[in-house]
Amino acid sequence: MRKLLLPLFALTLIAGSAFAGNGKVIIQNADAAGTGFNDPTPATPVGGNPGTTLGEQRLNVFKMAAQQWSNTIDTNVDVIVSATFAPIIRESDPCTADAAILGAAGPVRNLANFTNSPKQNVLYPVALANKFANTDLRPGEPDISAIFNAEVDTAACLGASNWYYGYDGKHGSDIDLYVVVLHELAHGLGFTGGANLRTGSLESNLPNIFELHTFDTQTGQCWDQMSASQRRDSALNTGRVVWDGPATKAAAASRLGSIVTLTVTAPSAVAGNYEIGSATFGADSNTTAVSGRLVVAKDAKNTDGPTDTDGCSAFANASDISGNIAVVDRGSCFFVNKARNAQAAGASALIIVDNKKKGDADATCDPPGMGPGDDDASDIHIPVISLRLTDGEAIKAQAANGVNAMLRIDPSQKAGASQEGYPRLYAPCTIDSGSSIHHFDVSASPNLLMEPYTSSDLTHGVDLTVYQLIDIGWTQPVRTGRTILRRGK
Amino acid sequence: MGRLRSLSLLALLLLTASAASAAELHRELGMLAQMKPVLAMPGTTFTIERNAGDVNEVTTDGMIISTPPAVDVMLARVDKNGDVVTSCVNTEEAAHAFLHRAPEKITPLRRAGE
Repeated sequence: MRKLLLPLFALTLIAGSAFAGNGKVIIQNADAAGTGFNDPTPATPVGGNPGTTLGEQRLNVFKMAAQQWSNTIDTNVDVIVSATFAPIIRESDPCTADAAILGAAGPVRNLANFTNSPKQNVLYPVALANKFANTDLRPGEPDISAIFNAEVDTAACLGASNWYYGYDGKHGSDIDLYVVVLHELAHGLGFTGGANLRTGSLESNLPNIFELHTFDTQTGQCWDQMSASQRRDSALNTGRVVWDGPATKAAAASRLGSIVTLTVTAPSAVAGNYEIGSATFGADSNTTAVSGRLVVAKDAKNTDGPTDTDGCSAFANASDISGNIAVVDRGSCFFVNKARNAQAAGASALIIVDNKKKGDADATCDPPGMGPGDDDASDIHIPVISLRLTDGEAIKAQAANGVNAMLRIDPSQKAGASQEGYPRLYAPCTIDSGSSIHHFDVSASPNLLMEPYTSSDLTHGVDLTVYQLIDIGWTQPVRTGRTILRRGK
Repeated sequence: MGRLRSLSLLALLLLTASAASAAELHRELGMLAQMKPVLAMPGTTFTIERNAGDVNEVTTDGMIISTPPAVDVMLARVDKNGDVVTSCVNTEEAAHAFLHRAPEKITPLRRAGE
């Protein structure tokens, strides 16, 4: 029996090293003595981080996030992350009490036509190219470069909010460094492309592997199949730019929640399903199904709101509204005020029609998500939803003909995915609203690591992100060794 | 024959372990720390868009080496309620617009107040 176990044990370790890969994500501390990761300022261990200096705690968080990616992806070649934690200098946008650059990371190089390249004339982030080539194609150079802002820990930068260095996510009003590092390292591993979003031009006139999976459902083309002008237009095609990788699509089907839609049943001119924005106050539209006639609310033009459809004053047509679904326009007052007026008029639900469209400043072209603003919304108990301006205008134009609709969960639709089930990429219709394309869309629910902002409810998981990396060529470690060992026993 | 096979496997195992140890030693010697980061070095100005995305080099065996034209950067603002709102952008103008937006216009991407 002992004769049998030894070779099996050896085979186990060899198989493990051959298929799980020996490569790790390694943080290379590029800071000078006494600064950044080497800052000797004493610190109290926090949230599982045992570091006793500021520098140690910062480096520990980076190493923890790197370890998580090491456990998630499989390569035989180390992924070297050159990282600094120095004050970020940017004269046009200095750190102030209410504005700061937190940090950034990305591939140092993108490579094409390397040994074992899966596709010719397609750029891959160097860390992934190394994996395919099974060697370090750029020895002496890091694969990912990261820079994070040490000034965030000073009162002059973001006021009382500092970096949180714990591992437990209990960051309170501080910024969870772990989540931001995890997010930025994903960019470095390949959750990013090379196309210029203003011009549509490609990096070095070659598509990035990211662009081979960036698909516009309206044109039916991937970004590598488009002209520069088509890519430029697609970058602003809100809701229609998706990630078409099969691994991410399959994972999205089980990981994204179902969404509530507004289904108009009559008249035929506007019948169909409409995407809605939800509110963080009022009845939960996920659990409260509502149906009825849509009635445009009329109110006084006054200092509360200059139009007679803004819903900022008591509704003049309350008798028509009562028992039906009220419709008002966005603007002039808080969403909560409109909801309060609708509820007082007896509405069963409120629809707020957005007031921005493509081309307007700050427009996102998505139905806006709504919060209570400065107000206490605990008295609101009807569902409150929003519609895109174009959808709302079309429906209001038919109101005189009697528009019947219902608000319900649509199990066939996933929050953050297209009708075909592909996860959406963030494509606000103005670039100013945030980075386009290189993130999952903000309509995803539950929230995802690679949305363009960090949500306070994010866990330290890699959710759909790991599947995106698989779609571009990364693999997950295969624990073959353990399996063989169990068979040996 | 069985013993010979076992010894060969053991030797291979030791070689693998030895190679791994060498790699660890390499790291610990700090040789990797000689590499230079590409994003802004401490004391230099940080830029989001760094070049036009030009080919840097084509090696003799045809490998194309390119430097990405931009980096994705996470920004933060404090809104009028004192809450931190973040946004990840990859253009200079998007960064500047977000960092200089009026506090009352700063809202989470998912949720507006009015």
